[in-house]
Amino acid sequence: MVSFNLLIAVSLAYVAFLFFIAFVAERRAETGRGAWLRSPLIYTLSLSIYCTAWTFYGAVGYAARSGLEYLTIYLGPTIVMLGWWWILRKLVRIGRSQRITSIADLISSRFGKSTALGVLVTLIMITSVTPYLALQLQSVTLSFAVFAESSGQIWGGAELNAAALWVAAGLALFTILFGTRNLDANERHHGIVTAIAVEAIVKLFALVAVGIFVVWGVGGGIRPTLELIDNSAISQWTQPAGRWVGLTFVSGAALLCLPRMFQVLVVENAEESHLATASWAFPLYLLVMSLFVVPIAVVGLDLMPQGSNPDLFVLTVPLAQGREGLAILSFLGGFSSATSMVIVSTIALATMVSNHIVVPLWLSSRSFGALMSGDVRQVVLLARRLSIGGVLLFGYVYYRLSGGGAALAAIGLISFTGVVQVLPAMIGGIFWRGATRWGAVAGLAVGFAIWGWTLFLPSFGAGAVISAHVLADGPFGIGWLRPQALFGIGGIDPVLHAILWSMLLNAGLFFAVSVMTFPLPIERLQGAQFVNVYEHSVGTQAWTQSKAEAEDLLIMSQRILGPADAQDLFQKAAQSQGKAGYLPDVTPEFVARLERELAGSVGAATAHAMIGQMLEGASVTVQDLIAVADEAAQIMEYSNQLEEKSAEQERTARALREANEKLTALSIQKDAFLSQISHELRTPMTSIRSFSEILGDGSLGKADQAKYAGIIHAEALRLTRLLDDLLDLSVLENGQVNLNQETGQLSDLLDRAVSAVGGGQILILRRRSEEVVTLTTDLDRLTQVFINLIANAEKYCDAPNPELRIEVTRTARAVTVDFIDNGRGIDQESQQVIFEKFSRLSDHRKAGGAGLGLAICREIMARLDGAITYVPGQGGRLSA
Amino acid sequence: MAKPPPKPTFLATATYRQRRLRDVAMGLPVLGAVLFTIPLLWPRDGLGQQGTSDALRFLFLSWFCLIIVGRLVARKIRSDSATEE
Repeated sequence: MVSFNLLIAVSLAYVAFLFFIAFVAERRAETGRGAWLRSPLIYTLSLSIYCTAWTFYGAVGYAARSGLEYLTIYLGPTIVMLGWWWILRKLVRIGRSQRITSIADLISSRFGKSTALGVLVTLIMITSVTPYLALQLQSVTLSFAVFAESSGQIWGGAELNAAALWVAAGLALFTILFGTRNLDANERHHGIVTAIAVEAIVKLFALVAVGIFVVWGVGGGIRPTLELIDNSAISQWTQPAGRWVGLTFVSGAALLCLPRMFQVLVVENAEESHLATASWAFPLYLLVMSLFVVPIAVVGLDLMPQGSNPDLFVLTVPLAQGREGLAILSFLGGFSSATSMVIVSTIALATMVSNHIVVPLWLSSRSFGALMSGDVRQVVLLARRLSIGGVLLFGYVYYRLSGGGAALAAIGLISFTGVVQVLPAMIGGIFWRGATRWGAVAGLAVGFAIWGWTLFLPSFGAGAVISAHVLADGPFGIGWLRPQALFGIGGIDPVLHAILWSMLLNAGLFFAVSVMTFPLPIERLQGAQFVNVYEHSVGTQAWTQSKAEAEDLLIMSQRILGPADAQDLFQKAAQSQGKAGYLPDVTPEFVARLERELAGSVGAATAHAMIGQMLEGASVTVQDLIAVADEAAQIMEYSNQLEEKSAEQERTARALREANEKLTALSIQKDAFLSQISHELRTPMTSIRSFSEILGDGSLGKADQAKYAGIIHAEALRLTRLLDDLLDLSVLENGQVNLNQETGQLSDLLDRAVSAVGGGQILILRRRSEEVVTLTTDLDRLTQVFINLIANAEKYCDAPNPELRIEVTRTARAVTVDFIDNGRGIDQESQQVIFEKFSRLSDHRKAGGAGLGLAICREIMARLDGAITYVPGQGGRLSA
Repeated sequence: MAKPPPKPTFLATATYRQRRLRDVAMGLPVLGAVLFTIPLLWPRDGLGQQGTSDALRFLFLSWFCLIIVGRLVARKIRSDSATEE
């Protein structure tokens, strides 16, 4: 027998452990060591609050009653998670770019920051989720009662109620402590998320442990367990198709619409990439959670006495088998499921209540507006704390009123159906720009009303809220308004009936009214931002050049964001405007940004209203919007022009730089050329001058006279040659040369060249068979090149028995003529310059030329569309 | 004379794969919805038939396969491109 006191001690220790975990996580996040807090694993585990006590205890009861139908509750979310690329990715992106704080904020923000819509969604959520909260309290108290019973006490209503009150109070304390530390919902609740992740592991572990015990400990293995299923009351596959599809749809939609799921999926999401991991990891978690449900149900039905509550088989089966440790683990699992769900639901609901109901009311009750009032930050926090207490109190009251009778699963489905009334407005809002706030209001109101009339109110039992007479005959005898047979179509399963009619009319009206009404400018702006969130993730710019003073705005922001954050924000804005100090100009962009920051704390509608008050009603008109749009367009055009201009300037600068480099190089070349040429001209001139002076003396003999006249003549010839070469080169370089195209044989050209050089000093080796090539080019010029090359070889070859081989090779595209001598070649550094003007590698007297020969050759080859190159180790090569 | 082998038509393989991966990501929930409704096509109310354990096996197996494919997609897909959609 488990002592009841031991159970109390264990659960208190567990709660203390959770407090500790949450506390450590908060501390780590504050000191910036919390990288692991923002991992995809923690994100996935935090999603597990989808699995509440309803799934922990209730799924087994559900399976015992209706076979596999319980699976729909998991299959729907699996489909939605696997389809994250469609909806969830967009929701998360919108949530981040618009700083959405809750699902009510999403709807309100999308439809023009409408306060009314925020209130409506908040009311729907509170009405739908409160029964669910009551359900969690009920499951925890029932599980306490099970242990009390096993230790000999039988709990009556008073004990159950007291336990429920204690649990609710403890949860309120925990939630207020860790849920309202930060005002900005976008700063995320690290402590709570981490505690939830731990609870997720505990409940999974507990359910799997019970499952393993049941399959292998009691059932005797997989095959016997499957046989047990085949022999049980739920062996036949009798699933009604309508309920199967309907419940899968509702649970999938609920994953998107439940306030607590929206909180963990969108608001607490730290990085979009975590969603990708959760898209498969969360379905895996659900799969494992549901794997052992049927075996536990079947074994429970088999073992437990007739009439025992199948909702508690997870606890009672291990207890009945004397496995008390396992039973306590299982209790902790159920406790975790209930508490984590309650905590997050309460935070989500309290955020909605404080942002969409309390703060707007409080603001409107102040005639002077936000500027004159006290510390808004404290008010918002207080509102949130009170809301947490209020929501939990509401849940407790509901628990007391309902008497904790109905089967767990029934309450869960009622809650789901209420919550998904938001789906059309949400999906329509993020995918359809034509959706208007009137459409959203109409759809939500009608869907909510139908849900209340057909499912919620009848759920209290015939005669409790709706009298048996009305249930049977309709209000005032109007038959087609009967709660469970709308429009006279009876005989449908009540849940399916409610889902069908509420969703059809909700979505239908949403569409029809949206099409018929006209959106406000701000709605259209928000609509564009939501629907096209991937294209532009910038905020709305909807405020005019305002009358508010920056100082007033700073005072107000300090009250909401806290002094440090607000001053930081203002200082950065001032800096980006190029101003020093804390007070930026109140531009529309700045006001829009400030509003978005405030929206992260108090919700979009409230932030909009507060700034609206500050600006003395100078909010948006169509003209303002057009002005802002015009301004933006002008700015964009201007910046485009600027960009174009700067690109052009860049291009010009580059061209100028290149031209300058070229000019500098040319100038250097020119200087070198001039000094070279004067030197070249000076040398022969000097000898001519001095020898002519000697001759002028007349004191020379005949022989000497002839000798000196010969020298003068030779030098004059050299000068003439030099000037000829220069002229030739300049003509070639300027491209003024006239080419005289002729056709001839390569061998003839080479013959001419060899005889022109007349060289007896070098042995010329040729292969005439190769030289049979017909050329069409300027033959004289080409011959000039050959002559030059042969002459060069003759002059410079330093071998004892100089020889020059002339080789001709033909390729498809060119003819290559190689001049290969047996000299030692040219130094590597000189190879670069041999084709430059005036470059001579050895004593120029010996060469007897000005060093222009090869330069002329290069120019000629270039004109003839060929090339001349030096091939190391071989000799000259030219190709044409 | 042997012809030179034809050059493969140029495709930006990486971005092409990404686009197809998105198609898979978008098709996956549809596949899931189809798989999860298939047991509804089985005969129900058949006397003496033991459908529950078959449905149990079928559903969990297809569920698991979907998770495997989902994991492959999630690991390869990139969500960062600004030009999407």
